[in-house]
Order: sequence, then structure tokens, then C-alpha cells
Amino acid sequence: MRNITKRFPGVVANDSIDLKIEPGELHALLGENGAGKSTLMKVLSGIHSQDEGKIFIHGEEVNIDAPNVAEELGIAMVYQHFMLVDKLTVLENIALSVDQTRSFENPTLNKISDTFLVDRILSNLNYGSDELRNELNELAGKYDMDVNLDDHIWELDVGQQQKVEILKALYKDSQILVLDEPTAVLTPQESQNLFELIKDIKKDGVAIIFITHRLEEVIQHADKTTVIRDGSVIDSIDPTKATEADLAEMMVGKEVILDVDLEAVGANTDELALMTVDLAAKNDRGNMALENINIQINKGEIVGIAGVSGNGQSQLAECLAGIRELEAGKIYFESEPIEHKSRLEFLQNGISLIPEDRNKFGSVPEQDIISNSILGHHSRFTSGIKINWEDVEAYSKQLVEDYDVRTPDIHTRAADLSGGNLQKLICGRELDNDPTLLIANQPTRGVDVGAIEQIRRLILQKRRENVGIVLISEDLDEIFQMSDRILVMHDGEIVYESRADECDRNTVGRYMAGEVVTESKEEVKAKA
Amino acid sequence: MKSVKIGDFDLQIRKREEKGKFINIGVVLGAVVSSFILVGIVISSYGVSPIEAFQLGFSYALSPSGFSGLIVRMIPLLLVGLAVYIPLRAGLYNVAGGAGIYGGGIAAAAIGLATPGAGRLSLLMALTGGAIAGMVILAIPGILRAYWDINEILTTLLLSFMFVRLNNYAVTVMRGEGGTLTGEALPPNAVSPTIGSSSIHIGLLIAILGFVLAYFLFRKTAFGYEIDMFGDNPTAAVRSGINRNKVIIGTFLLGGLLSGVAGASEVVGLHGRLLPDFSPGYGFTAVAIAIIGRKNIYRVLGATFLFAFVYIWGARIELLLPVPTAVIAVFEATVILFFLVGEGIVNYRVDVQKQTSADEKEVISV
Amino acid sequence: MSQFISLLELAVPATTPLLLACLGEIFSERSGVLNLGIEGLMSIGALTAIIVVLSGGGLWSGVIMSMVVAGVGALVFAILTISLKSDQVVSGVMIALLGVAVANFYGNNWSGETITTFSQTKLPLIGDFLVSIPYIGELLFMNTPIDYLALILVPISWYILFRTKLGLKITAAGNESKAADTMGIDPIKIRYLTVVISGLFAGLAGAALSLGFTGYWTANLIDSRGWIAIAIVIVARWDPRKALIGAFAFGFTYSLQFGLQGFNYERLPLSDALGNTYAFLFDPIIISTYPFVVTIAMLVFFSIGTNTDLVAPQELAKNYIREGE
Repeated sequence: MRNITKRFPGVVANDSIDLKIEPGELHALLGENGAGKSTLMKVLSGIHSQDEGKIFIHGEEVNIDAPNVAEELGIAMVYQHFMLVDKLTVLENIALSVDQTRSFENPTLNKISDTFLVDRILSNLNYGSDELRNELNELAGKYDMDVNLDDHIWELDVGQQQKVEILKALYKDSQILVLDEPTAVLTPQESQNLFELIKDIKKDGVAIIFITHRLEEVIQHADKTTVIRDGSVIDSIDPTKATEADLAEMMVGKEVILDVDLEAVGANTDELALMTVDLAAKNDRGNMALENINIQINKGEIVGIAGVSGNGQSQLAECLAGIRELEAGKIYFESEPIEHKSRLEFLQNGISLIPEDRNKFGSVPEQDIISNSILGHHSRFTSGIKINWEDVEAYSKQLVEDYDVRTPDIHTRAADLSGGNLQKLICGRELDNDPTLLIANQPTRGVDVGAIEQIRRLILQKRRENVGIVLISEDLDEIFQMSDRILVMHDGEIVYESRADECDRNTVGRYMAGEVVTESKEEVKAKA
Repeated sequence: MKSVKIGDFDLQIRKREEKGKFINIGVVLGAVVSSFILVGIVISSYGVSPIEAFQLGFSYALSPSGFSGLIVRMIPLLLVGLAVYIPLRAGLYNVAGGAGIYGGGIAAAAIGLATPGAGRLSLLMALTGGAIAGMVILAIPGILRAYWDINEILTTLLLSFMFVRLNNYAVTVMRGEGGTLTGEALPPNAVSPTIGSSSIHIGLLIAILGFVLAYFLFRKTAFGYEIDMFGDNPTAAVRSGINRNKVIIGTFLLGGLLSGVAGASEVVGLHGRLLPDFSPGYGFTAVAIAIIGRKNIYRVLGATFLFAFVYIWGARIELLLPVPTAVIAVFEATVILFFLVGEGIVNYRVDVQKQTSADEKEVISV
Repeated sequence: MSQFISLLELAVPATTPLLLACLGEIFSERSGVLNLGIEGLMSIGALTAIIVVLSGGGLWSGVIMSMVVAGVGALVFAILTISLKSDQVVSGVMIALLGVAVANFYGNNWSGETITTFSQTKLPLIGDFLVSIPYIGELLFMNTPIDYLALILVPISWYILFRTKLGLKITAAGNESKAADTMGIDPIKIRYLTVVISGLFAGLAGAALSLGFTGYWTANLIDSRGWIAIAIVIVARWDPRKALIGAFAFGFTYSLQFGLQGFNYERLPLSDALGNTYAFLFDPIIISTYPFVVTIAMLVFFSIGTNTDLVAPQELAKNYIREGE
């Protein structure tokens, strides 16, 4: 790929990027969240079209303007969110994605089947499952993949689902396999298996592009790595010749992201805001999402919860806010057990939540700012059964001003606000109510840089006001900059806990990945 | 972006970004006018001059007797329309107009017949009994939906089919003397007084009350706010502490109350007895009214007027000209059809691209 | 016992239209489209069939025209909801109302005249043998061609939906439309296809009713059977085989109205004490409510406890909007 540039409204996702991949090479695309790696790969796989630049395969220029074009060229992409149909089996999913055409021995029939329509009908009939089945089993056996073709996707765990996706790509004779953060959802053991599988695949000349932000993986397994930061390529190097520190510097640069006044690390008060004892909960599917959760949050303290999305954080936030029922355990709010109370009662007690999805969970997009500004708190404006709308309007005007929500007027729909402004509105709403406990779940995700800074400042301000704060974030920077204490979640449990000034990113990152770090802190520091 | 190719032209459907302010009113008007035209065409196929038909109908509707018939017709339509409108704002579909009306009617008739000596009180009790009956009946789909997520369209629908029949049964039980086909006439104290020589009855008062109730609910109360939020984003609403069961069951209870009292008022006000099939499709018409009404109670009122008008017009035409009664139903359904199409046009536009040369495209938007 | 068998026999013609409509709706719903217009489509289909036959056409021509007309009606619904993105529920109810209204309107001129319906025939070759099986022989094997057709369509529908690639595509479109789209399966095209199929089936159902059962047209011939079919889809958990059971349960209770006419309930035990209750329960009008009671009961029974969400097509009634549209 040469000189690829891709723009979206408000941001240049890819800026003149060059990328070169050899057959049989494991090439790592390294960069932080939002650096532009996914976008680049979406251009390669045909989901986006580049604004500038060219793509060459085996030296020939190609024009990839749709996913099926990429497919025909032998490019297969395995996303973070698997493109599998849960209700169907492995075999059915793969059959679905493969276009089969039958060829007859009789030439006339062949000609007829050449006609688009007949071809389609035939390929829509029995999907030749025996043939397909045998071929797939052979393929799986070749790479030692343990996959049962008749399992439904929803029965499989994430690691196995990923295998299905890879099997699908292999079956289609892909020459270029793109994996988007594949180890994000795997246990260490599964990651190991994955890399061994990749080694085998490489031998057959398949090139593999691997998007990641994990340094150790790059150094251990990649043949080559390209580091991308803020949309541009920093460098393309052979990782065996670099240290983690080198890579980290290329990835993150030396900029200070936020000039926040460094306050002393540690809770402001000794008072307990909230405590959970042996909390356990299920997710919507009915599987256990949280176990053995024991957390304490003091007033005036920010507890940062680090972890890769999908390890129970959302469920934890929901339990703490009173949205999700517990399977076991207790929640104490200021020494009173509250786990049986309703969400409304939690709110009335002063437990506010900034949800991770502002459109689905945090606002009613079709309604205007006025209605959204009192969501969850409208009882403040009621007398009897009536709502005092004048007061509400005045309040939302004030909210919009105080929290710098940029909007033409308060009658605009929430859906018409930009992400950052909507998030600020939601933050304002939740923070303005004098909460005792604030749960912020990915508060700066998908928000523009200016708003990010504002939101972080607001949270820190609340800390000064002795509000207990739980900060759940995928952004390790954010966690480290804002937390007094850091907890790491993996697979529904708290696997690590430490004061923020007594741990380092490397350790936290490894715990996030599911490792158990056995070296002492000094050993770890010496390594870095 | 997938598109449809027709010859040299490329058709794509895209969301319209800016919508003119008047486009909403325009859609309704356009729908009405178009359906008038369409019905006119249909009528002419029966050898009847559409102009004559419209003239006859319009002049009758505007005459004193026709107009009072219009008002009488609007009473149940408005009440049941509101009974559908309130759950609709919560995102729930109440197609049980029939069930509530008939239930209310049966209760009212029963109470009226059972209390001949209670003076005017029995009228009041009949109306109240109708309201309560409606609430009890509509509580069922509400509860089923709230606790077990059972599709309320089907439960309400099935209930209304059941109650049509139950009403007919009730008529046979309450049969008048001499084996008439209707229920026994209610004693005069249970029957509503009417205005002058028209048949406008106490239901008018009730309909006005119902309108005020709905207006007040959504403009001024906290519950109305909760209903609105829940209707537009149930997930966020529940997460913000709004009680899902309260919204679902509450709106259905209100719907039951309104449709129940509508049925009661028909029995004590209009007919003075229980009749078989005394609610000719009110339940479905009410759905149409609520749909056209969208989120605006004045539109509901307007739609009620429209459909009542259509009915009066159609009944008159059917009387005087050789046109089947079903023309009314066709008219109603056509209005909704055009309305939906109009809405579709409002929200989406069709881009027609013509390939003039290899690279250039001309784009016309509709 | 023989009275029971004859009740079952009565149930068959009541089941067939319901079953057919249900099968078609299963196709549509599995791809994510809730087609509530079935009642209307059946109406215009039934009327078309009668008109064709009364105008001199053959029974099967009536069937085919019925399917065509209903298919066109379904196409209108499809355009409204799939391309113009109108709310599926609203559009569906509207099509139902419109269909019934139009059928009643035009049917006025055609109502009451009878035709010779499909006759009950035996299956070729083995028919004689099958019919002679005691008790169930005539029940199962002496029916109209449309009844047999409906029966065969059950396994065929099942096969298409669960064993062919087309069925996979339908399931994909109805559960994970976005994923399907990136896999190259166009949910829009699939939905158009399944909606038209549901229309064709509805037309067939209407013809089964007017040409196979009644033999004439009258206002509101369909009598809410279209709506029942939709309820049965949920009871059947979107599986054609279970649809057969649900449809038959309804058909049976429906036929009780006719089958129990003149039934002397005083022969039942405890008739002295429960005389009034029996009188109520066996009143013809009350019996006519039983199909609805049974349907509601089935709905409730099958929804409590089981998580319908896990079985229902995830994208049901949600319009699919492609990015950028």
C-alpha cells in the first residue's frame, strides 16, 4: 500500500501511509487505540475506499472498492467483533460465506447454469455439505485446529470463534490474512496456540498482518512491524532488533497528554463510599460475568479499573449502579446494604453512572436536550404528579452553559449533538446532582480531544469534592493519570490491585492480558 | 452503497438530511387529498359521479343533523383513539379497542339493567363500571407484556376478537322481551340525556374529559415524561430508574379505562341497550387515528374528525347511491396507506444518477 | 369415538389455510420482517380465487391468480417497509385493514354465489389402501388437494429453511443483518424475497379457504385467521414442523363450533350440579371464542419460562439501514 490517505469528517485517519508486506511474513501493525490501524486495514479489505494512494498486490495495482473484491484477491480479514451468525453452526457459517457453483458434465447444462439466475438457484440449494465438511475437516486437521463443525457459534467461546473465522479465511485460499487485535480476547494459553497456528500458516506462504497494541507480542513473534501514531507511519522495523522501550516510544511519543495538576496519590478521606463483598453476577446471556468481586471505594478517591473490554467491566458498572441484579454477594453503600434496591433507589442515594454507550444507554436520542438533561433525575422537578417544565428548562440552560455543551439551543435533539457534546451533557447531568459515588464507564471513548480534557477535569474536580469515583477505562494512560488506586479485571475477576504510584504500565498490561506476574516489583522495574 | 440500475439510470435511496418545516402538514394533507381522489375513482367505477357523491356527502355532513351525527361518531373514536395513542407513545401497540369497548358496554348494560331504582346514580355507576371493566380487561395484555414479554399486538388483537363474540353472547343473555335481536332496553334513568333533539349524549363530556386527561398526562405529569422516554429508548429509560412495568401496565390501564368508558357511553348514551357488534371496527380505526396522530394530541383530534367525517359521508352515500358500505373502510385504509408513503417520501429521497459518460454522473434528487 | 374422529376431520379444512399462512409468515419473520398484513393478503387472495372461478376459470387457475394478487400486495408492503423504511408494525396493520376493506368492497358483487370446491380425493396408487386404515384412514388420506399440498409444504419449507444455503442466508439476514451484509448476503434482497413468499403463501391460504372450504365469498371471510396465523408463528418458534401442530390445535378448537352443534351436554357427568356451567361452556357463541382462548393460552404457555428472545430472529421488526443510507 502506497501513500494511503483516508479522511473522515473532522479527522485524518490515515495520512500518506506506506506499507509493504512479503509473503509468509508476520507483520505487526502497532499503535495505540485510534491511531488508524483499523482504518488502514478496512481500506485494504474494501470496506472503505482510500481518498488518495494506491494498492499493489504482487506488483499489480488493484482497485479494492468493495469487500467481495478484496475477497477475490485473497484478502481475508478477521475482525474483533466476529462476523459470524450465532444461531448457525460452524459448518453453516462457512458454507454461507463461500460461493459454490456447480459445474455439470453436460455442456448445455453448463451453459444454462452459467446464466446468473440458474447459477444462483443451484448454489442456494443444498450446500454440498458432505464435500464441504470433508474439506474443512481436512483443513482443520492440517493445522491441528480443534474445531467441531456442528457446534453452534453461540456455544463456542471466544477463542474457538476466532478459530472458526481463521478456518473460514483459510478455506477461501486467502493469501493475506488480517487479524484485528486477535489476542485482545484470548487467554495467554490461547494466544500461544494462536501464534503456533500462525507459524504453520506462514509456512504455506500466507502473509499475515496483525493489528495490536501489545509490545511483547510484537517482539516475540513478528517478523516485521510498522508503528503508526495519529494516522502516520513512524517507522517500519525488524522488531527483533528493538526493545520494548523503543517500540513504546515510537507508539506513544514523548508528548504529555494531559497537563493535569499532579495531586498526591491516595484517597482524600477515610470514609467509605461503597464496598462490595463477594459480588457475583451473570451477563445477559446467562453466563457468569463476575465472580469474587471485592472492592472498596472511599470518598474522594478515584479507583481506576483497567482491563480489556469484555472482561466484565460493563456488568460491574451495572451492578454498582443498581441496574444489574447480583447472583451473590453484597453491596454496601456508606455501610448500608443496598444490593436489593432498585435503580431508582440507587440514584436517589446519590450513585451516578456515566454509561459506556451514550446513545444506547445514556440518553434518549430522539428527545431534546431539555428532556435528556433530567433523565434519571426528574423527581427533583416534580411536585405531586406534575413536572415543573419551566424549572426544567432553566436547569438545562444552566447545565448546557456550565458544562460547555455546544448546541444552537436546548430544543435540539440529543441525536444531533456531536459525541463529545452529548457526553459532556451526560457528564453534567450525572455530576451536577451532588453524587456520593460516581461510576464512569469509558467516559472519554469516542470523544474529541478538547472534550476529553474537559471531562477528565470534571472528574478530578469531583474527587476534590470528596466524591467516590470508579473509573473504568480501556485507556491505560487515562487510568494511570487519574487513579489513586488501580484494579485490573480479567475474566470477571479482580486479578490485581495496587496504589497507582506503586505499579507500572508493564505489569498492569500483563495482568490485563491474563498473565500472573510472578516477578517482584524490583525485577519488573529492572527489566523495563 | 447498493443501488438499483434501470437502463442508464442508477437509483439510490438516501436519508433526507434537511426536512422542510411544512412537510409534515403537507404529508397529511397530501394523503387525505390523494385518498379522496382515489376513492373518487373507485366510486366512478360504479357508475356514480364522484362529484355528486362528494357534494352529497359534504353537504350532509355540514347540515345540522349530519353534524350532530359527526359529533356522536367522534365520541367513541376519540376515546378509543386516545386509548391507542397513550400506549403508542410508550412504544406499545394496543389493538384491543374492541375488547375494551365491548367489555365496557357489557358492564354498563349489566349495571343499568340491574339498578332500575337507583335514579341517575345508575347512569354514573354504569359509566364507572365500564371504565373499570376496560381496565381489568386491558390489564391482561399489559401484564403479559410487562412480565413475560409476550407480544401485545397479538394478545390485544386476540382479546378483541374474543370480546366481539362475548358481546354477542351477552346480548343473548340480556335479550329483550319478545325475543328481539338486541339486548333489553335500559331503564330510562340509566340512559343518558341528549342535547336538544340530536343524539349527542353525555359521552361528549367524557370525550372532552378524556382529551384533557391525555393532554395533561403528557404535557404536565412526570408519568407522561417517563412514558415518552421509555417509548423512545426503553433501555436508557430503564437504566435511568424508570420502572418498566409501571409504564407498560400503566399505559394499558389507561387505555382500558378510556376504551371501557367509550363502550359504556355508547350503550347508555347512543343505543340505550346492548347491541351485537355495536363497535364496527372502532378498534382498528383508532389505530389509524393514533398512527396519524404521531406524538401530537391535536393531530389525534384532527384524525378523529377526519375519520368520523369519512364515516358520515360514507353512510350517507351508501344510503343514496349504489355504492357498497365497505367504501368507508377502503377510504380509511387508503388514507393510512398514502400517509405512510408520504412519510417515507419525507424521510428518504431517491437519487437518480445518470451515467452521461464514463466518469461523470448527473444527479437529480427527488 | 367416532364422533371424536369426525371432529378431527372437521378440523382439517380449518387447519389448512392457517397452516399455509403460517408457513409463509415464518419465511418472512426469519429474515427479520414482521408481516402483519397477512389477514388482508388472504382476503384479497380468497376473493380473487372466487372471482376467477365464477368467471369461468378452473380451480387451479383461481389458486394461481390468488397467489399472484396476494404476492403483489406483499410487494407493496415490502416496498413500504424495506425501501421506504416505514415502521413494519404500522405498515402491516395498514395492509391488513386495506386488504380486508378492498376485498369486502369488491366482494360485494360476488358474494353468496357458490362454486364447486375442491373435492376430497384419495392419493394416487396407494390411496385405496390408506383410506381403509381404521379410524385415521379417512381422516388423513381423504382430503382436498390443497390439504395435501399444505402438508407437503411443511417438510419442504423446513428443508429450505434449515438445509439449504438460501435458508442459511435467511437466518443470517434475520439475526445478524450487518454481519450478513459484509459477507456478501444482501439482507434487502433476501427480505424482499421472503416477504413476497409470505404473500404467495397467504394467497394460497386464501384460496384454500374460499375454494377448498367454503366455496363462496362473503364479507370478512377470513374472520381473523390471518392474525391467528401470526400468533402461531411464535408458538411454533419459527419452525415449520411446530407450525403444523399449532395450526392443528387451532383448527380443532375452531371446528368445535360446528362439530359440537346439537351436542347434548346433559349426557356429561355431574350435569345436575354443573348444568348452568355446562350451558355456558357449550353455548355456541362461547365455543366460538375457544380458538382465541387456546391461541392466547398457547402464546402464554410457550412464552413463560422459555426465553423467546433466544429463539426469535434477532432483527425481527427492525428495519435494516445500511451505513451511509
